[in-house]
Amino acid sequence: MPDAREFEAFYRDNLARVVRACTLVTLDRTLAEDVVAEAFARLWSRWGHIQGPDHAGGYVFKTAMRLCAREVERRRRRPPLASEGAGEEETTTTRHDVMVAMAGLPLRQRQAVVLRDWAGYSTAETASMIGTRESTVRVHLARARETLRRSLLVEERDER
Amino acid sequence: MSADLRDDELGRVLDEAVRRIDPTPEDGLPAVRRQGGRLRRRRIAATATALAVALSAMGVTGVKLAGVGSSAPATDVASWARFRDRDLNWTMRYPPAWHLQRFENVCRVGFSGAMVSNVPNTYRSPASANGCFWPPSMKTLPRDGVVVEFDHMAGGPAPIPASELAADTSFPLSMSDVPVVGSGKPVRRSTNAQIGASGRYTLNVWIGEDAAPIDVAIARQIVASIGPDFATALTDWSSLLAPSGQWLVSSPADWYRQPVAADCGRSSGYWVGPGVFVSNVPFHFGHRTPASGCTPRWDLQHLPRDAAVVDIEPPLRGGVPNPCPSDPLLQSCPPDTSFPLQLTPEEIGGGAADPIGVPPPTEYEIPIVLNGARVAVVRVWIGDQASARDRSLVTGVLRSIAFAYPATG
Repeated sequence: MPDAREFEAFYRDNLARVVRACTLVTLDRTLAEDVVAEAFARLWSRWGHIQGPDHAGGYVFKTAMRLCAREVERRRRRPPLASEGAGEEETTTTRHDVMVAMAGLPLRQRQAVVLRDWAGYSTAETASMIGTRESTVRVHLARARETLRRSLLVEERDER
Repeated sequence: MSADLRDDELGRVLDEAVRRIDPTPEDGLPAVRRQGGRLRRRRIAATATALAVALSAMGVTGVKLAGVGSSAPATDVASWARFRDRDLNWTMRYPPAWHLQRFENVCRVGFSGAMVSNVPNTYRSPASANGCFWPPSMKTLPRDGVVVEFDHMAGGPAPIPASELAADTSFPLSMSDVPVVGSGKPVRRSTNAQIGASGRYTLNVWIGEDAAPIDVAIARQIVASIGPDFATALTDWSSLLAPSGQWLVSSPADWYRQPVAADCGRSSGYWVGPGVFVSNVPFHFGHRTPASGCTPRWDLQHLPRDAAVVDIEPPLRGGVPNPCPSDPLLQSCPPDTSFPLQLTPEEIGGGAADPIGVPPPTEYEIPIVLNGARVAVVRVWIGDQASARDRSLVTGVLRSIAFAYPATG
């Protein structure tokens, strides 16, 4: 019988992090929470086979990223912007700008930059999580960073 | 920057954008564990089925795996999970393998309810940049998807206006009671329902164009399982016996129960009480109007706007129930009252707004007639700001009222 207390502790410690990552990828907090709930449910269904927090973290991130990709592709429409499905207190200029900039990236680039630069996974781990090769991840990262820097960081400098 | 190095500045900007997203773990944990348990059981069943098929293919006989299979348990409603909305007093059953999504106070008017479907994540927030649309769009439902949704609308115009309220909807519903709405895909069926004299309930069903017959059959059974669930609301209730010993009424444990002594009517010869007064707010009957011969009416201007009140007043003339139709307040005697009591449109009343525009509580009056005598009147007041929970609990209070006849003389 899997240890429910261990799972609950892991869930509490990691829920916000995974939801934030999925929000950056799907650009829809409600969808992100649905996807993450499903990812954690799958993790719980296999909890007896999970070997430690790192394994659990990798599993839930990988599952969440695949579910995110499936849902985003299923929609096949312009991703909603920050105001959609988000709390009013979250519609700050920074958040809006980031979401608009992220919306301009292809799905794979969003996943790559979120997993590598935001979540801190290695390039190899990122490649494994989104089901592609390391060299492809590097290309995605380079293009995503260039786009984001141009639309976010440069504008920040202009304001000073 | 090399892709093998992390771009910390970009990571910080992204983090700034999402750091305020802080979901409450407790909200989703039970559903996650249930869904995870279902997935585990399904995987075990699939493994067992595959094993059985393999053994069968190998010519092994005498192997039985009880409970493994899909269609038989799927249509066995007794084994299904049950959803209960204890605040809004309705229930629904659904196969454990289906996906339940609950929503509360969605959109400005406050839709609350639940959605079950054969595919996960069918519920989408109805809020968008252009407003909040209900029911939520099912444009992304897979072609084999089937969804059953039941909701209660707290504010705004009721789906069934008060003027059109009739007896509560007759449950169980059949899919044929639920007409097709529009011509879009997936096919949507929808109907309004009345529970506890509230016409604020709506049933929606979506059936994808490639839905499997077994899933459509299951949807029919889910629709048939939807109905009122007052029993659950009565579990934490307390009872009060009226001073006369004739009336027993139950109300939620957090409501207020007050016995009422005999009172009023001296000039008209009309007496009221002893009775029972239950309410969701501490409300004292010192406000009974003392003028005009002490008419048996409360001074409603002192009733809080979120109040829900049920009052049982046995009207007595000289200590005995009034025979019909001699009761001065009742010109004709209706047929004997049938129990349990329920609110019906005939009893709906309510006065004009007061000078500062505060709407009066909706008032109901249910005369209780037994063996040709008017033995009591049950009055109900529901303030315009009473919560959906309290409105529905009024119905439970009415259903709990029991009467012991004959009257004391």
